[in-house]
This record gives sequence, structure tokens and C-alpha cells, in this order.
Amino acid sequence: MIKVDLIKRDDQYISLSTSGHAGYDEHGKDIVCAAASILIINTINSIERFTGDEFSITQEQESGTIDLKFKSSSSERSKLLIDSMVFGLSEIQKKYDDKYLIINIQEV
Amino acid sequence: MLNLDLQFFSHKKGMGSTKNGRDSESKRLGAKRADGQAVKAGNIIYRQRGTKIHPGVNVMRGGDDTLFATSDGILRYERKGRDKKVASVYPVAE
Repeated sequence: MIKVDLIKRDDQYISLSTSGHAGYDEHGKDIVCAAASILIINTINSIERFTGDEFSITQEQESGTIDLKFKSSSSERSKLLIDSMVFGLSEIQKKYDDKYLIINIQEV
Repeated sequence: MLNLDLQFFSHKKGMGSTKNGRDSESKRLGAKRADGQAVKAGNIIYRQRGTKIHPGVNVMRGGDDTLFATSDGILRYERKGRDKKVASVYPVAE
């Protein structure tokens, strides 16, 4: 199961982290994994490409870990990108239930 | 930029599943009585496949090559010829 944890402060995102694997099917055929991968990775690459926000990031495929931390907090453009990602992931979660993907948004 | 790996959240091929990992039920072969031990007629002495150890005096071989005593006495594992091993049971003098 993929866990997506987002932390917000004053309605802006300060971190995005993931862990785990979908486990929907074997490597190369796991469509839930592919959908989540494209949404999450493209969002992070889009933040880098289309916003000036500074962040630190680490990743490790074997454990499905991505840890992104904004230097301060997300700009409106980054927030929109992440909101769009969350929207897409929520639709996947609705369709394929909590067995493969869980999203957790926390306000601090 | 992160590498766009569409299977980033998927277990790598082969991880978590293996083609090995099968084994047959252990048959607990080998010696069931030790050299110098007192045995009774009918006691199983040695379980084996094939004749790793051959039947000697007062010892017989069952259908599955198991060696068993045919009379009471003391069990001895002895060498026979260059590389043969034999199990024999010698009655205890009264």
C-alpha cells in the first residue's frame, strides 16, 4: 500500500512524503502504481519547473520513499499543483479502495 | 528533476516472490541407536535410503532399507572391507 502524507500550515503545504508500494500487481503491470507514480513524480517535477519554490528532496525506490520539504512553505502555484495531485490520487483511492493507496493530510 | 519511473511505487520484479523456497518433508534418516547401546529384537537401528550401512549379525534390512535388530544384545557398528560399514547385534553372555 502506498502512503501519501502531506503536512500543511496556514493552508499551505510544508512537506510531501510517500512510502510503500501499491501491491496491485507484479512489477511492470501494476497500474495503480503507475498512476500514482505519474501523478506524484510529475507534480514534483512541475513544482521544480514551473514555480520558484525551493525544497529539499530525497527518494528511494526500493521502499517507495519520497520526502519533499519546502524551504518555507508552498506558493499558490505549488499549492495548486499539489491540490491537483491530491484530487487525482483521491479518485484512484475511491476507485481501487484503501488497499493500495492512502492519503493523509495534516494541518499543523 | 525526478526520473519518471512509472513503476516507482511497485515492488521490483522478483522482490517478495521467489521460484525457490520448496523442500520436501524431512524424513529424519540416520542412526536411531548408538554403537554399544543395548537393543531389543525388533528395535530400529538405522533409517536409510539404500545401504549406507549393511545388515550384519542379528540385523535385517526392511523394505525401505531400514536396519532392525532380530535379537536382544549390544549394537556394534563395524567396518567391513575397504569402505563398507556393517551393523551387528551381539547377544550379552548370561
